[in-house]
Amino acid sequence: MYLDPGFGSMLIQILIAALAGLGAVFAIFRAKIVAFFNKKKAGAKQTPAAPDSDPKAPVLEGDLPDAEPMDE
Amino acid sequence: MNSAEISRPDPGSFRDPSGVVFSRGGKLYRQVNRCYREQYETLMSSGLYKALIEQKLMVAHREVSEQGLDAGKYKVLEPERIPLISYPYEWCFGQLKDAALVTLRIHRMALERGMILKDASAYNIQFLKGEATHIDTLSFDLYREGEPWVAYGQFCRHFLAPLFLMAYIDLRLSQLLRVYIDGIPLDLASKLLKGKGGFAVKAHIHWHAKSVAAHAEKGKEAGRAAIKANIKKSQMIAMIESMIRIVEKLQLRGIKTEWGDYYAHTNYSGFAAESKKAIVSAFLKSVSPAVTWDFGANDGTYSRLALSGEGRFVAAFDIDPVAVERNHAAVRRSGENMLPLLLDLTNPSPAIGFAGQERVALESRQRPDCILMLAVVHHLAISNNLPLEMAARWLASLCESLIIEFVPKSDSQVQILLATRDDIFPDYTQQGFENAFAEWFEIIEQRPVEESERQIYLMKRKSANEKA
Repeated sequence: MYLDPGFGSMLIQILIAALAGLGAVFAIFRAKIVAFFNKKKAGAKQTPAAPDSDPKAPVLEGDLPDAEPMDE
Repeated sequence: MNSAEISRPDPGSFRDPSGVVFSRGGKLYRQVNRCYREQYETLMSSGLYKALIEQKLMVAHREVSEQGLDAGKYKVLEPERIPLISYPYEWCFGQLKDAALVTLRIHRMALERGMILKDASAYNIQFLKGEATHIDTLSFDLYREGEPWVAYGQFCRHFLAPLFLMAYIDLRLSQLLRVYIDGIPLDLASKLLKGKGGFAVKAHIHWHAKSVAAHAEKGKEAGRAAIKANIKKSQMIAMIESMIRIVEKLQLRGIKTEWGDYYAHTNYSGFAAESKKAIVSAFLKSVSPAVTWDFGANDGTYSRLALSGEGRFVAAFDIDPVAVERNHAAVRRSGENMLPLLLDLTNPSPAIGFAGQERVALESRQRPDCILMLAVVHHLAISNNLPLEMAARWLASLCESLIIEFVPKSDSQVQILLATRDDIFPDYTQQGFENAFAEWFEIIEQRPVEESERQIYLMKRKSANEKA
């Protein structure tokens, strides 16, 4: 590894990666809750049309990555 | 490969002990050293190389046999060639953004196969038919879980800092990359970006800059040992995917520059524009250039005319970042063999880096067969006070064939240039123009553009003026 990674860069990266990881967990959790309530709604009243919201809903800049299976 | 020919190492290829780029017999090779053997084998056997090639994220290569490789060398590769090497300070916003995304996506794909990108330099990306492509096959290393991404700091300096500066402050700030050859220092970017952007800027620029400044004195070994096992793979992946989304969402707000709407507001009637296209096409047909440079290409309307024919390449240069941006978007959609680039003809990219040889001037990278100089020479002659003889001499040093448009003083565009200044250009006439160029070029043909007073010339360099 010929690059000098920079101690300060490595340190801040630990924090940012931890935040991103938390964001990923939160996003999966939120997706599960949303899916749960959507199922309930579909059961209660037969909702006809598909929701017209953009599949890529606006996300807070920089966090909350899309739901993704986590590597263990 | 004929080992009797001399190998010339690339003056910019010296930092990485894994290998070196060299040229021999007019071809380009990349030597892989023994110390990199494991990484290279992993790249090829893990499926990563195959996946990257399939997605056109990296240049392909073939292994060439080399007799008597000495002890330090492992293999020699012959990579796919790029028609014209370009540098990040010559790119528009969209090109730098594409380059950043390709870098992150490659690193993301590498992580899935137990590897990482060990550097994230913008100079590792080049453009092929509109697509950003990684050219350094030796940029990979083995992934050791827990280790932070060693190239993160470089990525922020080379990509995030300039992209944020261009998107939130001014497009022209990409020129800082010419001065700072290893990316924009984060403390400088942080000062400029005070109060701009959202959480992404705060984390990757402001916090990052403070952390770098606070730990500037720490010794490398002590630091690396102390923070070795600290980032889980899932966190690393989450961070990279977050950064991909950050870059994807960066947009230019509807920006108008002097030239952005040029073709909508020039003094060409539709008929004049068609006439000009017909003339340029006819001239190009008689020259049949394999490589064409279009100076002042704007959105590439006339550059495209040089692409009709097998194996043609056009570099479309313009001073206006919005015009280059438009052209890049068009080339990305079409996949044409064109490369739009930023260039100020009065101050073109110089050679920079160690010994002024790491990143070379334009004319050292490629020589065109033909140059298009349409509706430009009056800007050089009048706005930049450049004597026509000097323009002619310079063009003769670059190309054999020249298609050039003379715009007389009576034209409204020139009237605008002369509106607020003294007319100190007595020789700027059609005759004066022809005289200046006749010293260096032979005028093959000349045609007037319909419904305007402009003339387009086809010229050929006089053989006495050819440089070696």
